Amino acid sequence: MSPIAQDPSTQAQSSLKGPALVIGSLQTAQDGTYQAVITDLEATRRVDKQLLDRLVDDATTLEPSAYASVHLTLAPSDYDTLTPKLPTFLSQVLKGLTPLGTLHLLNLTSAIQTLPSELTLAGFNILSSLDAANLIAQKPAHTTGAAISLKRKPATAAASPSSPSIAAPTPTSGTSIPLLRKRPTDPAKKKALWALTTADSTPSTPKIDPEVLLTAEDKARPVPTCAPVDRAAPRRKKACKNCSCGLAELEEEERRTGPVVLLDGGIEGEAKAVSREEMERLVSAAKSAPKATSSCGSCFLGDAFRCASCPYLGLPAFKPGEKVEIDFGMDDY
Amino acid sequence: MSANNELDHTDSDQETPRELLILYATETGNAQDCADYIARQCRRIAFRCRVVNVDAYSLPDLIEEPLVVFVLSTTGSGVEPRAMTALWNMLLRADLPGDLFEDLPFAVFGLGDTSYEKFCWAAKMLSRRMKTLGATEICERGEADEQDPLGIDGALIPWTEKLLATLCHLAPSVTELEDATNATPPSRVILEQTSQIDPVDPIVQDTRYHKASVKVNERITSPDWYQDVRHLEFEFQDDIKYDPGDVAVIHPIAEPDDVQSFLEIVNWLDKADTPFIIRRHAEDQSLPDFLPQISTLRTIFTRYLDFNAVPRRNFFQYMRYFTEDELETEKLDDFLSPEGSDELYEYCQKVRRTIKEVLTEFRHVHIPIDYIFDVFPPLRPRHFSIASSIHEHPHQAHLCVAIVKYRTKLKIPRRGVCSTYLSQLQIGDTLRIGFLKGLIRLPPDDSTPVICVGPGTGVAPMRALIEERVHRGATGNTLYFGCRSEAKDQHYGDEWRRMADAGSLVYRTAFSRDGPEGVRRTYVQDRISEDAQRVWELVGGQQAWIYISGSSNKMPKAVKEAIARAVQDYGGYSEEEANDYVNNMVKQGRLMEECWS
Repeated sequence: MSPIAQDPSTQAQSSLKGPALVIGSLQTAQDGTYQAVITDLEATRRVDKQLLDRLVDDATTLEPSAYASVHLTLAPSDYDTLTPKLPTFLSQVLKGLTPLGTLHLLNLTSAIQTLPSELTLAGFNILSSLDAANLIAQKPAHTTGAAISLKRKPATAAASPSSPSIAAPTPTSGTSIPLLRKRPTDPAKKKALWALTTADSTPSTPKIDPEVLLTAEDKARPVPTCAPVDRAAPRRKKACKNCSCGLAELEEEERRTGPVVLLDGGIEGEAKAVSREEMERLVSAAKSAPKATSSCGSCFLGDAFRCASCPYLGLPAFKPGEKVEIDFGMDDY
Repeated sequence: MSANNELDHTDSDQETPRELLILYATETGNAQDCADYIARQCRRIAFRCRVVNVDAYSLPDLIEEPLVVFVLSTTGSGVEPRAMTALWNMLLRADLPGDLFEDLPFAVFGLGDTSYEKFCWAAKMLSRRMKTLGATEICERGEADEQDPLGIDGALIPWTEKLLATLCHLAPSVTELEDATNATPPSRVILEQTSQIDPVDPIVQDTRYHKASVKVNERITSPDWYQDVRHLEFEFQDDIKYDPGDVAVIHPIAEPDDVQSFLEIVNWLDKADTPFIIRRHAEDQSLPDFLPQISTLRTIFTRYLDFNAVPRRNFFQYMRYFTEDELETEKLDDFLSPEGSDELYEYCQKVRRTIKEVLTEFRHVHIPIDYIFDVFPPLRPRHFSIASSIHEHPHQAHLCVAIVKYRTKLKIPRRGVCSTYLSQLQIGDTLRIGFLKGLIRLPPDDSTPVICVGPGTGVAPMRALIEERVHRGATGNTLYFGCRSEAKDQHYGDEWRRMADAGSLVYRTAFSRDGPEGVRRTYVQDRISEDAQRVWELVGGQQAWIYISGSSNKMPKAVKEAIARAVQDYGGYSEEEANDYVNNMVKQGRLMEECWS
């Protein structure tokens, strides 16, 4: 099955033939995935093997720029235990890679949401992910130095090697929000990163799934504001598109069976309610329709000032004596 | 949450800037109205606001803003407004660090409708995402509900008070929070009579818009059919470029007779053609896009302000300021009271009564011309999926548009502003048309099969996709088209049949009202179910891409259901796995929707 998109790992193909390091764990050694990765790679290059614990516990250190690629195959629980030590671990791996060398994280679960940003902070460039389960990152040609500590506020990894920005003064009192202050310096690196983001219009960068961010409360179905329809109650609104309370059916019924009021628009005009079938016949005789009287005298003012039972409801306002012409020929649908 | 100790007011270097950016993303203008309202209220605490359409905002600047309030609506399908899609996609990138926006305090006000399941989801997701990017949410987000008795105002008014209180707390000043007032607010512009004429039309300078002339404006439904659907062809001199799935942006223009009768109703005929300089009086209120510096009332109501819009509550508030007739003031006080909100709804929203119609009934309302931009909403541009491939029709763009006309209790039929404008265009008329990136795109590999589902006018972007594919020699195309009548509204039927005969399209149809009375109607999803085996072969065996376009009511959901059942029955998955399969297709970008309400 050939992938539709261009395989991004072919971009780094030339460096994959250099020596590789496979990092596994007891779990992946037991279930054979560790060995599978090793065998796969051994076909085309020299492969070194390490277990995760030894690297994380500082029992071994990697030779600087020793490997063209590093492949990490861990079980989900391994990733979980690794998370607190991730910054240190990633900076080790970064050192051990040759410039432009690649780090392959295999068999990821969706639990590691923060991995991409951890990688960026450690100094990696995210190349792409082939699918959600694997992630490829690359050591830049020139690294800007050691991984940035997460505890301090400023400076995320970015392309520009400008002088490091001065951290904004941290508040002396606990929690508060250091808001609404003129910042004394320009946070250049973040600005550069955001500028790169806004300039880049290629949709190929992986995106997070925003629905994952929503809490259960966010997603809870809102309390429906439609009680089952009450025929007698005054109608607050018309039926929604997905009406489930019966209002849509009621409205349809009214449209079909309701009477039509024919009238002469003069102030002394009469109103007469007819059924829909009679309407066609009466349209041609409208001029000779008998006249009706208005008891309030406000009918000509417009719907805003008409009584609820006014026969002129729905007609525009008119000047007394004026004849209102409505073309009944237009169809409803 | 105390922040007082950081704020040293005596040191002018550290003085708190009392500035705030309000970024709005609007579909029908409601979010824009809310943004303007919030800006006006912020004056009470001496905060200066900039109200900017996120569409027009320079996104790189976001990271340096001192404080941002996002005001955005959510569509029925839980998605952000079109204007915000570009920014949203940037914010979703997985490679952004968790402290990118740690110097940005923000708040979110969302507009939505609780009759939809994904109520205010766009606002909820934005708030959560900004927080994962390190930004500080200064107060709980607002969620306004159309179904509330007071509508959007039900949440807008109390939330804005909360926002003001929060801002006071974070940036205390010597002046106290002024009470909300019922006095007439100052107008956002002053119109100054002049004898100059301004020949500059700002839209001409916007490179996204190009001059087009009308080549074809043809009704493609039967003359005896209830719905008027037009096929329009526009010709461009410029070297325009667009991709299948892209959208044309059109600014409607009011009919001259309609404008004339409106000017008569409001008694402005005597100054209708006097040039005025439009001077901004309130910097923190939005104005229509592309407004020139000098114009006449006639031009303004033809191109920039919409007197055929259905007014919102604040329109009635302004009428109240501008009338002294006792009958009218009483009625307006009723309408504006909480108890009278149902009555206002019945009178106006429910029957879709327009501003012009309301003004014929409130004849003693005298609107000062300085207030026209406060009282009348802007004429919004409309979006239409382009129905052609530029490679098949160089220098042209085609549209397939249903003219909106319907009845409510009002005897005069309701008409769509933009579709009415398009319907009366004559051959040779010129207008400016903009181009916007669509939500769908073709697979990079021409050998990938595509399945298009585009009932009704949803077939418009499908025509663009399929024309392009055939032009490229890609023949693995399937179209599911649904409409009501085979004879009366089968849009582009002859073209599809020609392509099918030539072997470049499999054409499947569903004519919902042609069946006998009493028999269940057939829709596109039914055809897909009939073809389930073939659908699975294409989707599972050949990694086909699927497009769904048209009404966002029940159709997209039913279509995805039918596809999931095909995956289940012929792919050998369980029901849940099949549903996941389809959801993953969406996530991978193999299933795309361009639907509208």
